Amino acid sequence: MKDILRLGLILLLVTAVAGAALSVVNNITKPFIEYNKRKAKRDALTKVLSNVDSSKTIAVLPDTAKLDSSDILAIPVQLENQLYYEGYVFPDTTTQLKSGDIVIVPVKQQQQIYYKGFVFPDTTKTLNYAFEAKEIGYSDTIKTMVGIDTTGIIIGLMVLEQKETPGLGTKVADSSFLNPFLYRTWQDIILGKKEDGYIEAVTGATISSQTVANSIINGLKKLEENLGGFKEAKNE
Amino acid sequence: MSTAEEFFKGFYKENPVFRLALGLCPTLAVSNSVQNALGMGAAATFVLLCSNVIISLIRKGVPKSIRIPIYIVVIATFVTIVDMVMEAFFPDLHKALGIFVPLIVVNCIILGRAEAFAGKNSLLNSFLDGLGMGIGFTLALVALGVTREIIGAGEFWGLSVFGKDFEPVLLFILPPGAFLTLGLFLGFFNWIETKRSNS
Repeated sequence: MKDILRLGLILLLVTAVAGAALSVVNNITKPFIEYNKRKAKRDALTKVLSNVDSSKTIAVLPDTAKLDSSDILAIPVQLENQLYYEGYVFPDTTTQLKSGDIVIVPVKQQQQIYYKGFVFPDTTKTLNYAFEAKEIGYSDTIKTMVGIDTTGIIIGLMVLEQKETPGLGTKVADSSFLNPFLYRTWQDIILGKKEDGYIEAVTGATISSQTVANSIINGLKKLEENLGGFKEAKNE
Repeated sequence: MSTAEEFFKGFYKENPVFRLALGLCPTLAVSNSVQNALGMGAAATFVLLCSNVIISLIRKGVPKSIRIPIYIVVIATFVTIVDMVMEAFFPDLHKALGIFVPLIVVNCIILGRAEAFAGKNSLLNSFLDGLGMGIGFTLALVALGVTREIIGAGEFWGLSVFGKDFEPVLLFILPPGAFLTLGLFLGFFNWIETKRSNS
């Protein structure tokens, strides 16, 4: 009996030390991890919308409400049914955004969060949209950042997060799989043989490939619904 | 056993995968390409090294009857810390190795070396044992990875080896290929050892 108590206490001590160590490390690393995730999302957004003039500042507001990062540049203000944007370099409210800077802001509509790029300060002239497509793949959720122009044509995409089978499903993040998606509308996203003009699935990873395609199609459909239809493509 | 032998035994004589048949689950799972094999090997070596050192340091204070749960707590804590620190300060590395870190927890080489070696030996020897075993594990993974990637994908390090006309035997990068390749390797090394002991 005495022995059980002694061993139990030793085990308690070891687990308490381990628990304390973990919580300390968690506290230290958490803000960095969150910052990295936001940065990755920002980088992804600017990458998938890279047809915009990259020499101008691209500002991205994180969809978390926490303003603790120095590179947040614009905030939306809702005032009597009108949404407008106040731009500055957080937390320095004196450095205003210049006219002509490109601002990307998140919009939440019908449970979908999408991003809208416009030339500051004219919020009415939207340059492009981006959204995060996600769906459960072979092992876990696959998240993809998709950039489209105002006519609904995909102009850029990259896989943000995936935990597919290493060496097989992980190849859905490669440009050889993703590039054929470019310059297509959702109606044109069909997996099949390359020779027939379709998008070729990654060999040995049909489920992962189909998941990426489906999540993009569904996200685009939803966005089209939320926007009340994309613009007609100009015939040139 | 000399100090040098403690280090080199993991390479071949007591190679964790081919001779001790330890840690086969992660071996089968991630040996489908050279890149994955190296990533897993590096991450496992690092954790093995650190857990061996810590367990060797605390070995005198650990009561024999509860050593296994204590080892598990130490290893699991260590893996989680490595995962968090890597994600916070080396996001690119974490992106490449991130999927392997949770797999290290189920890698029985770590617990195996803690129980069989680090719990009974000095700090220096445990350090060398961890490093040697880690390198041995990496070598085994890379050997399997090279074989499977070349046959199964026709590639080496993601680069095409045979050109476009080569039709790869896809089976080899799929799970059955892992069992086939590992079985052949184990058989080969057993055959060598039998021949050696006979002569």
